[in-house]
Order: sequence, then C-alpha cells, then structure tokens
Amino acid sequence: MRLNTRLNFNRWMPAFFIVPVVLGLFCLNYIPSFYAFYLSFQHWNLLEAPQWVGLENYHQLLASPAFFQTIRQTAWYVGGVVIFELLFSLVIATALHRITRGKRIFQVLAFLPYVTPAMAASLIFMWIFQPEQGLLNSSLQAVGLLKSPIAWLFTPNTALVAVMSLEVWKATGYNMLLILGALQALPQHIDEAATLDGASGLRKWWWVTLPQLMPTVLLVGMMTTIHALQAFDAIYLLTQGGPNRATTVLAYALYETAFQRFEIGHATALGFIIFSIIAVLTLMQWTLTQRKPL
Amino acid sequence: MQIPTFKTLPFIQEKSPLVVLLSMLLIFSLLWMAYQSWHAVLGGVPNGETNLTLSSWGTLEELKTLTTQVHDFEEAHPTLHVKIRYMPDLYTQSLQMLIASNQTPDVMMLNSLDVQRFCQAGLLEDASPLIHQERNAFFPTALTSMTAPDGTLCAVPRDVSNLVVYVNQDLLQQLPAHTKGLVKPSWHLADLPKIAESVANLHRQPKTWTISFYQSPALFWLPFVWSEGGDVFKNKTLKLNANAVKAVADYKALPYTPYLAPDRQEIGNTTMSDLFLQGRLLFFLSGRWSVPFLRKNARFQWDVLPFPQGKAGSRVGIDSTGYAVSSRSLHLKDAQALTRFLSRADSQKAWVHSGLIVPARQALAASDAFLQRGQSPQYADYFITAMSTGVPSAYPKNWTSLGQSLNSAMDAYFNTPDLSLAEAFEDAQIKGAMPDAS
Repeated sequence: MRLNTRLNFNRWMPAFFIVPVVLGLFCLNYIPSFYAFYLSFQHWNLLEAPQWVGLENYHQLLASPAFFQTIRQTAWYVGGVVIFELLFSLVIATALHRITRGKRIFQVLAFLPYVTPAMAASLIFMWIFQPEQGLLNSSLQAVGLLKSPIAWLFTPNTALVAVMSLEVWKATGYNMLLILGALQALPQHIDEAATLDGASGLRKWWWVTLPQLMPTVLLVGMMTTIHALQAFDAIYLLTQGGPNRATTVLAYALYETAFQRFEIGHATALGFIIFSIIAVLTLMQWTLTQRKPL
Repeated sequence: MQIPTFKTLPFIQEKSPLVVLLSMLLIFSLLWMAYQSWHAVLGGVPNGETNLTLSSWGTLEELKTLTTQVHDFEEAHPTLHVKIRYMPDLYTQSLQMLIASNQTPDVMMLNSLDVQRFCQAGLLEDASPLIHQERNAFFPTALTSMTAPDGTLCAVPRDVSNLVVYVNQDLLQQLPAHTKGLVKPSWHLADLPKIAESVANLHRQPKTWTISFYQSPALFWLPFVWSEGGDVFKNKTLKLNANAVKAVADYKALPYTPYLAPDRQEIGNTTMSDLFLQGRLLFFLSGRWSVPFLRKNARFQWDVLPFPQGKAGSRVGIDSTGYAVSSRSLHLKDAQALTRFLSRADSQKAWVHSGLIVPARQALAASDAFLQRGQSPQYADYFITAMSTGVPSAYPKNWTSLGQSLNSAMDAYFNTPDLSLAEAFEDAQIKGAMPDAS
C-alpha cells in the first residue's frame, strides 16, 4: 500500500502545513498583542511583578501635556513627510515617465536611498547638518544665504524638519516607483483624446493624468502616513528625541517610556493609542480604495 | 474550475516519503530547539555538571579579559561551565528583558545605579558573605554605592568611577604665566572665566574652548552643584537647595561666556572627547575610562587634575561597577564562587593593566599596577584622592523614571536661554523639587 494512502495524507496534510503558520501568528502576534493590551492596565518595571492599576496609565497619558506635545509633533512630522514625499514622488515619476533615454539609470538612482541602511543614511545627514563644516551650512554660507552657522539638529525649530528631510529622502524613491508603475499602466487613448481636444502641459497633467492616478496616490499617501506614524530609526539615530523633546514623536516616546523609563504599562497604553490611530487610518484607506475610480 | 487538492499535487503523489521525511526533520528540529532553550534556562546538564551564566558589557578588549578570567575559573572548577552573555549595547535594557522573561543570569556585572534598583526589587543576593573577611580591602565609598538603603551589600565592587579634569598640557603651555599659575591641584571654579580670557586671546582656529560642557547625564553637571554646597536629593526624592539652583544657573551660563565652554549650536554632535582629542578643549571632564582612549589617540601631552573647588571643596560623584549574584539563581553556591573568583585581587589586576578602571581594592589602587608611573597620566593619584571628598551614589528606586524626567527638564533648561529652572521642572511635571520660598 502506498505511504500516502496508509497515512491518509489528504485529510491531515493541509493542517500540517497551515498549523505552524497559524501557531506562529498566535504565538508571535496575537497572544503578545492581547498580553500587551492586558499590560496597559498594569504598572510593570520589568523587575517586579506587574500591578493592576486599571485605567490609570491611559488617564495619566491623556492628562499629560507632554503627550499632547508629542501628538502635535507627530502630526507635523506625518503631515510634512506625507506632503513632501507625495509631491516629490509625483514630480519625479512624471519626469521619468516622459524621458526616453537613461530612464533605467534615473530609476535606480531615485530608488537607491530606499535601500540605503538607516544607519548609513543617518551618518550622511549628520554630516550634512553639522554646524561646522556641514554640507548645508557651508553651501548656504558660500552663496551668501547664511551669515552664521545653524545647528539644524540641535535647534528646536529646525530639528524636526531636518529629521523629516531624511525620511523624505529615503522613501521618495519607493513611492515614485509605485506612481511610475501606475502612470505606465494608464490607457494612452485618454491622453491622446485630451491632446486632440487641445489640452497640453500642466493642464493636461492636472485634469487628465492626476485624476486617473488618484487611487494610487491615495494608497501611497495612506501607506506613507502609516509608515511615518511609526517613525523611529531616524529620530533615534539623529536626535534621540531632542533638543528639548522637539523631535519626540509617538513611536520614539513609546521606546523612551518602555526602555529608558521602564514604565511598560504606560508604554503599552501609548502603543494602543498609536494602534488605534493607525487602525482608523487603515480603515480610511480601505474605504477610499474601495471607491470606484473617478 | 476544479480546486486543486493535496491529492492532485505532484510532489504529494510522487514523492510522499520525502515530504514525510522533511516534515519529520522540521518537527525534530523544532523540538530540539525547544529542548535547547529549556536546557539553557534551567542551566543544568545531565552528567552532574553545572552551567552558569554571566552577563557583561564592554569593548571586545574587555570581553577578552573577562573570557580569560572565566576560562581560569573553569579550569579551577572542572564541573562548572560559564556562559558569558555579552551585551555591549543597551545593556540595562537587554538585562531587564532577560529578567522579565525569567532568564536572569546567575551573575551580573552591574553599575551602582542598577545594583540599587535591582537590589530594592529583591533580585540580588546579599554579597556580604563573599567579602566578609576582607571588607576593609575595598574603598568604603565603593561599598557604600553598592549598599541598599536597608544596609545590604548587594554586589562586590570591581572598580570605582569618579571624575577628574583631563588637561591638554601643550595648550596649557601656550597660556600666559599668570593663567598657568591658576591651574593647580587646589584650583577653583571661579578661576575658569579668567582662564577662558587667556584661551580667547590665543585666537586659535578652529575655535578652542576652556572646559567641556554636558547637558546630560546629570553625572557631569552634579560636581558643579555639589562643589558649591548644593544638593539635589533629599530623602531619596529630587529636592534642590538654594545653592544647587544657583550652581545650576552658573553651569548653564558656561557656554554663554565667550570661550569658556562649547555650545551645541556651535559644535553639533561632535563629542567632548573628540573636541579634546582635536586639541580644541583645554580641560575635559571625564572618568578613568578615557585613559586607554587618550593613550592610544592623543597626539599631545596630557595629564589629569582634581575637579576645581567651589565653596564646599572639590566634590564629584562616586559610582561603582561590580558583580552581583541573582537571587533567582538555581546554583547559588556556584554563582557565589564565580563572583568571589572575579572579585579577587588578581582578577581586578587584569582590568587595571589596560588603564581602564580604578580598582575597588585600595591596595591595588595604591600599587604601581594602577599608578603606572612613566605613562600618562602622571598624576593618576588624583583618581584616588577624589574618593575621599566625593559623593557616593545613592539612587532612589524610581531613579530611571526620575532621572529621565530630570534629563528632560534640564534639556529644556539648558537649551532655552530664558527658561527658569522652576518652569523647566513644571513643564517636565516634576513637583516639589524647587527649594521652598521661605
């Protein structure tokens, strides 16, 4: 008798393949998530046994001015990153769509920042923003736009913009590829019809191309928003949330609360607030992308 | 369309024994990994031998020293095996994660801040029996910093850390004689602005400053407070006295005084040790840990001086690093044997050799093994004399949280010219830290 018949393969083999994945999801994803939610009602310093405190962690968060300062900064950060990433991605994708020679080289060049490790990118940006001999200050001083050097990463008014610029530089290439793919898939006849009707240049792009791109732009916008809400590495590497907490956004605040203050309950409560924001945005993205094209 | 079933998949039909074999292999691998993890947690081996875990941080050079000592210990105790959990970065975070996941190492290298926190959480064994016959061999301040509020000694100190002022001798020689005369072991904080005037007159490019300036951690600005008779703790809570408020304000003014201390706005993320190494700082406040680095990299003559005196003398903080035995260890006696071995005079001597530490044992600190005459710094004795006037660390249980709030308040205070200390504390939600109005 064949082995697969003896062991009745067809009955239990599917389960055999699916169970490890489901187990993995439960053990590494769902159970920790539920446990984290449970922890958000406790005080725990990772040393002693957790203590049940009810809603105190959420209450403390919502009563803290620092939390609302963090929310404001996160909103500025996310808003800036999304606007500039979308803008640059659209411009670069449109330009690359039109050029006929060297398209591949420019695509690779535009995508390179995305594959640059965060650490290497941060070192480059540290040098760019260095007050003495930094690229930005030296260039601005050379063309007479700046009299005395600015410590971009150490001035509360400029630090967040400096960190944003790294994120925009890194992610624009990826978003550009998505938009370029959508551009290349657009039907040519609409564009040709618009040309025959006398539309040209920017007007045609604004009234004909962009509306067709909107589903992709919305998707990219939502993905960028969700990604920006989780921003951590650039801030950790460049400013550590400073100066004067000017670059402390939600994800960094979570890290700081959990692993510098060791207030795990507080940190998980913060984590669930971030989770709620991302869940709402994901729902919005889902709703928007389900809409029929314009 | 017919939905494919497993029966229709060719590799299921044709090569089912192979699939079964691979599946079994996968299952056994998972079981083997689970067994290994369980085994590592329990630390036992079937043939009566014992596995101990020892956690530590440090450079690769330090790891090499530790590995040699562990090897010597294993040779002396053939039934004991020591696994070093080397965590060079984010040590405290990693260690607390291990503790939270019930994988506390049997022996932990800890600084006095963590010793105090861990001990007050009941995680450390009493270390007194490990040194009871030679308690006097250790610096009393080192033992104090490893002692919990209830008087329990929670770790055996390996080294003591305090701060001294590193001096760029070549730069000092360029200053006028009257300024050089100010730079002596009994010098004063009030002399710093006068020295800065002479540094300014050197007109060096790139710009050169008099002394290093740190916004955090508190370790670096507290000597300016303590030396002026200030204090920031009362009954284990943050409570500044009037002297402390004035001293902190004076410290904040250092970068605003020309050529006295570098401002972050001018230097960005260049570190103080880099500035000193570049010859752009006359004085650099740091601990013994800078000695190997400067010996290797400095291209100028340098030495050390005690921290300058204020109204209350020269007072820097004294911390310790040492070995602590986990109260959760399943092999308490063996873990104590390892701690005793690592805390011997011979073991401490191996660390002293590199110039990295001030040993916690007094006799070793007074010997040439530490003083290393003929090498910089020539006046290594100042690391020892600082001990008699220093302030042993005494951290409250909630220091990590309190310290973060303090750092946050001081970050705002130092970075905002018009912000008062009271406003900075209020913004950071630190209550009751300012002196009473009366």
